[in-house]
Amino acid sequence: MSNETILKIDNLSVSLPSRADRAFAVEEVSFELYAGEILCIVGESGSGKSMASNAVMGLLPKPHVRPVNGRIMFENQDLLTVSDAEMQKIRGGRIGMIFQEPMTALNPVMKVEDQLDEVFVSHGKYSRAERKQRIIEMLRDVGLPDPEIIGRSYPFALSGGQRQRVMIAMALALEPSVLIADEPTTALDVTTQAQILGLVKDLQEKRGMGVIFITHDFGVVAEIADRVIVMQTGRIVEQGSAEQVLNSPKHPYTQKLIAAVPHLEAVHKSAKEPTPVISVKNLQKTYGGNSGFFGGKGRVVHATRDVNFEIYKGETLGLVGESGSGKSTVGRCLIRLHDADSGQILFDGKDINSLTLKEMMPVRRHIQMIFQDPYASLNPRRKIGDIIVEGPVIHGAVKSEAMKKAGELLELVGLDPSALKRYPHEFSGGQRQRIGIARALAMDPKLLIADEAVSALDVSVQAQVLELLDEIKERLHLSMLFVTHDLRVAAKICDRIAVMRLGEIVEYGETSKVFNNPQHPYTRALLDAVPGKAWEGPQLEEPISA
Amino acid sequence: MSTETLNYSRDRSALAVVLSDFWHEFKQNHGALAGLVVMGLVVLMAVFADVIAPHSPIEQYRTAMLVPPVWQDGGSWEFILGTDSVGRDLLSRLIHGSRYSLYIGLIVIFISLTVGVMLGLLAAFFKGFVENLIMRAMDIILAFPSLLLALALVAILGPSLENAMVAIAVVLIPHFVRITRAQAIAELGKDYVAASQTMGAGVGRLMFINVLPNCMAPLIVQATLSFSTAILDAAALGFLGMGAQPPTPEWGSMLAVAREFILTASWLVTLPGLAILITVLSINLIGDGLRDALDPKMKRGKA
Repeated sequence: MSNETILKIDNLSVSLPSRADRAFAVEEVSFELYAGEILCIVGESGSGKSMASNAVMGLLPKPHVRPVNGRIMFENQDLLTVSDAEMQKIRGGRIGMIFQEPMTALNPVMKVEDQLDEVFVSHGKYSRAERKQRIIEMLRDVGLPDPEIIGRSYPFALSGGQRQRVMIAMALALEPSVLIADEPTTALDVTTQAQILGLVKDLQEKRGMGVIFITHDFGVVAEIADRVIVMQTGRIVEQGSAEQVLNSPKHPYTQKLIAAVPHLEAVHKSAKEPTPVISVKNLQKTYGGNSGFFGGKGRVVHATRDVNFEIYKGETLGLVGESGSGKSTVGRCLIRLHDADSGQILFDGKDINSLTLKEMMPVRRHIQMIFQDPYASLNPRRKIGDIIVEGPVIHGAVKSEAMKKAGELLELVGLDPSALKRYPHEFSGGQRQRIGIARALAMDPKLLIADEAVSALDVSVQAQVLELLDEIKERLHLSMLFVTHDLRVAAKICDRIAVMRLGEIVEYGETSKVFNNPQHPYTRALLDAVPGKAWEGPQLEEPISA
Repeated sequence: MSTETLNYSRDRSALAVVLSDFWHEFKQNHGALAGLVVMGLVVLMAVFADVIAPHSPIEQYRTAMLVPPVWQDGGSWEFILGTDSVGRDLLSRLIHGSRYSLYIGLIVIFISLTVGVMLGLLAAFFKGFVENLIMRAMDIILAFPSLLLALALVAILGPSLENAMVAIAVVLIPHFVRITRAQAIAELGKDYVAASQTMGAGVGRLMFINVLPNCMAPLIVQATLSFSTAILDAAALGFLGMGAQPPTPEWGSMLAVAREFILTASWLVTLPGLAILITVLSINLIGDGLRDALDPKMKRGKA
């Protein structure tokens, strides 16, 4: 790593419109980027980490959000004072950027090669023949197989990982000296994420670029960072080498964040009494397959095939897998949000799958679900109290008593009972997820199904909600099916784990066995792909949370 | 266990927040504000018609037929906007006519909104046969030119203001059905509906307590815009003699009667026409403002 500074941000402040919750998105931020290093900016949502990089690119949402102070020095110019035309040249030409969501960042009606071509044309480089050749080279450089074929495809025909590779190719087309990557792997599966991280590191080394990598994931930081900046509510609270920040964090906020990162190590749980609460036998579910309008055959997708497992009393079974593995479908079949095609789901001696909706009613009390998106899972037009008592009232409870119990449940999940009279939009994501948990508990369930229940939350909130789930499970002797794509989370909360791939369970066993001695090659690949797996994390005293 | 402290910075009810946000958005649109003022005046006029109107709308002053408005030669302050061919005071008729316009608008919207929302929800919840039946029926209604269909319906039912309103309501129903269905399908995919289902909520509960309140914004906009369509169509039917029957002071039928005097007493055509124009325009302006404020898809880019 050389010590040549290529980008220097000096005392930058970015103001927010008057109706926002704080005056500055970014406040008095100063840092430098050296050639040939990867600088990670970490922070939770709302910490201003993306605003800082958008300021560099001149992409702040005008006119309400604008830099009010400071300088951004790049190649002897202050980027805050250059004209729009100049900025246009620098953007893409000298500084490249990749975004989180590769589907929306690519134009859906343009072929990949045309989009890449546009980059060259708009910067007026190369002749037509040269461009064509460059495009193929670029696509090969980012590790895409058959660049000619991919070039002629439209974005929808590519997988998420391939799209992100195309994005990277576009960002690097003009050989910029700085690459800004804003959460580029957050929307990707863990194995794809590992490949993209490898690619970014590889290209950075080959070209000697400086990379600003924005992420919320300390695993990713441990995987690729040379230096780390930690941001909280618009300010830098800590910066230093990756080694130093990750293993001996100084600032209490960094310590708190790092302590909240779940470790990959399986927590050994005492063996539970093996009485199954629910057992699933040969569960099959396919989507599609109906003949189309013109008599053609629709595509058949096997969401689950021959899935077998049992959940014991008082245990948490983790169902892990990448997107499209059918793990959510299994969860939804258990609660009859989807109807399985064949197979048995035995609960209390009854086969749930063959019950009519009316016969299902009494069973519904005992199986409840916690959803992924805390913003979509609460009806925005109803008060929290009404949302929580809806289930009990349907099942014949008196409303006033149900309300009283709802208040107690809110206290149990760590919220003030006065929340009953409020609407969902008044709560943060973590608080809403607690409300979702209270809603599920209002039915006195025996089995909880948590479908990616903590995936949408910031790491410190995630840790709190996981802790809450674990505690409630112990206290109320519940069983839980925990559906997740995040192996770290699974390691922390699950007693046993089932690994799913393409609708089948490929490995099934105690968490410690699956993690320490994986049998199936896919499980091994998944574990290998977890970012920052080598990083154990410092031994910190548990910080006292507010 | 850790407890998150609740953020009670905004200690107002959610409704107040929603309304103030809405008002903030709505008042950005000056056209909509102007429309609101004009519409307010029309409503006041309709409510207090008996007090404001100088004469009875149907009394015929045989001594003062075809008196021009006060600013023309031969006009008098007794009949400010003049009189018609049988000596009825035009101003009083226009003032009372606003009652009919609002009455038509409200009834038509009530019928088409309730029926449309019901059919739309049914179509969204019962995919397959029911949905196809409803939506194809709506397609058939949409395939006719709307006024022609209304005309045919009135011809079958017999010409009267009530029948005209029913006919117009039928013509307007498909718009509400389509909007409700599209919005309800989008809401049905959200997890809060699934959550309610796992509690065992029945179809009725899902429809009316969970889904419908979240579909209201575009429906309110459509209702406002249909309000003006209803007034226009009623006027058109009245003009064709298929709506309100004389001596009802309905603006459209006033135009119809005045048609033969278009060259000799132009105020008889101009003034009711203006009344229709101003009312419809102001409602449309309000509708546009509502759409900007309520429909997130139409919201202008905010920071």
